[in-house]
Amino acid sequence: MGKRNSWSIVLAMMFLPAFAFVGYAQESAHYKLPSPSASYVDPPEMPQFLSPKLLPNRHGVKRGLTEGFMIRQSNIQNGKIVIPPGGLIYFTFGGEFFSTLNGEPFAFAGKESIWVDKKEAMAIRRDLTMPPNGPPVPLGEEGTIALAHTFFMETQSGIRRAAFKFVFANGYGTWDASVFIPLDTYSRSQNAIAYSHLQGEGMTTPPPLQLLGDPYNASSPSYVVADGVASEGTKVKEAGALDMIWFKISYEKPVIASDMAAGQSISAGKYQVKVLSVDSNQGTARIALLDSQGNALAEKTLGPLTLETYKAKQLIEYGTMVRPTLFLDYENMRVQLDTKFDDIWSPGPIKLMNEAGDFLPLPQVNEVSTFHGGKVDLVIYKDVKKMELRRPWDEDPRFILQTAYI
Amino acid sequence: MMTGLAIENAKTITLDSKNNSYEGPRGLFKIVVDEFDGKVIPSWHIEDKYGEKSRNLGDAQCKSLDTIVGEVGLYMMGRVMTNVYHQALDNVEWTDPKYVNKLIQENKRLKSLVDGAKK
Repeated sequence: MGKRNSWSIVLAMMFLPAFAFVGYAQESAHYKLPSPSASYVDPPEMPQFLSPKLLPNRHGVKRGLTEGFMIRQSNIQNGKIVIPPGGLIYFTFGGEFFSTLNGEPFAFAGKESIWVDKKEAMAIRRDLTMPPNGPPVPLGEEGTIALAHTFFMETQSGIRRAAFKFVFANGYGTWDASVFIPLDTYSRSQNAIAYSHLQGEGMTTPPPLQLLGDPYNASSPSYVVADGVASEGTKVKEAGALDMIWFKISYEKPVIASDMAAGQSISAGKYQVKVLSVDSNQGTARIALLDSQGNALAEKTLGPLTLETYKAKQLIEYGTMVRPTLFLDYENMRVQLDTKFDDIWSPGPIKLMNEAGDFLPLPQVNEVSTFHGGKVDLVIYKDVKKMELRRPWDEDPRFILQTAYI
Repeated sequence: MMTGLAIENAKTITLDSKNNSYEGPRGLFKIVVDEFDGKVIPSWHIEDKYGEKSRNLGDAQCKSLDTIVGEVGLYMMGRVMTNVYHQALDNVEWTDPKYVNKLIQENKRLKSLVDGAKK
């Protein structure tokens, strides 16, 4: 009896990982693409739904909006068609790539909306043992960006190479990362490894060591640090990658409050926005949010927004210290400085709007037109909706919100 | 980071010949199974809120509703730059799916020519 029990434990240990993987595959369609036999619907077949629509941002620059969806991992079980959770995924993309503060348009489930803000953060996971070609492991909660071990080479110039790929829950395989693990502590030095490899390639100048000998791999949005190789796979000490936390949108057009001098106020919904002071030289404005009785609810100095802020190309977009200084948030209200730039090819200002309302190349502009003669231009959103990713969509809880890195 | 937004179904969707359609977010699109015998899906299509209908996406061997609809990505210089759509379309084995509509239109045109010649 005891013998049988111990055998059953051994059998359970042998099959446990296999069951775990099967369970994973059945559970959700995350990290997978539609099957190779999938059909395709071309945009000209359903032009009103699928072809790009053009809508202007706050400054009248037109952006293309596209929508569509995919079905993945659907199958027939017991005479029924089954689409697993995450199997039906709707995608939308508008002007949000260009900027978060210029009121870029996009369509959300067929409804025109304005992109207000976004929050990204690193998803980090430690101490993983990953078998080669195993399922992707989410670095945060289920549905965050995942790490997949895609390739393993036993020896390459005296070291072991393991290749990884970061995969989004929508199935998109993004950044690659290769790590190199010495076979044992007595293996050759990393310089020797690099050099022997180079001789074979006929090169004399060593390349950056990270490509040829390091147990870590890092780029700006992602990194992997490997610890060693065990019989069951590669041990990952720590891996991290950038993922989205929430986004803020508005279905209503904002109030454009231009030429606001100190002491002036404007009503927005059930609140009043009052300008307390403006400093055009410093590029700052102190504003207060008042309720209908005139009581101050929040107060903040917005800025500084100067030419220097614009000159550092991606500061407004990615500077986590800079962007929050340009707006005041209170419940579902947002009061922000009217940023006036155009980013033609990539996030970050390339052209600035001058006083006359024309976009000029950044070097030709000598003042920030948000501030002029002791007055400031503000933008006030009355109903901002915060949408937390991987949580149910409040409008229709049949769906959850997801990153669509596209 | 090139962000975009997505929404996905939270729970398993089950369809059969009786319960044969599923409506997308805000009724933007609808998946309709026209014929299903419990083993293959000879006929199914999608509809949208503008009243447009796709062609029949099923056939005699169709065993799933897997599909790629539209082309979503960054619109720049009259082109859509895609990442996840690019990978998904690359993954499809049967033909270059980008030209499927052109092929259908061409087929229709040739058919009408042949029909005209017969008359």
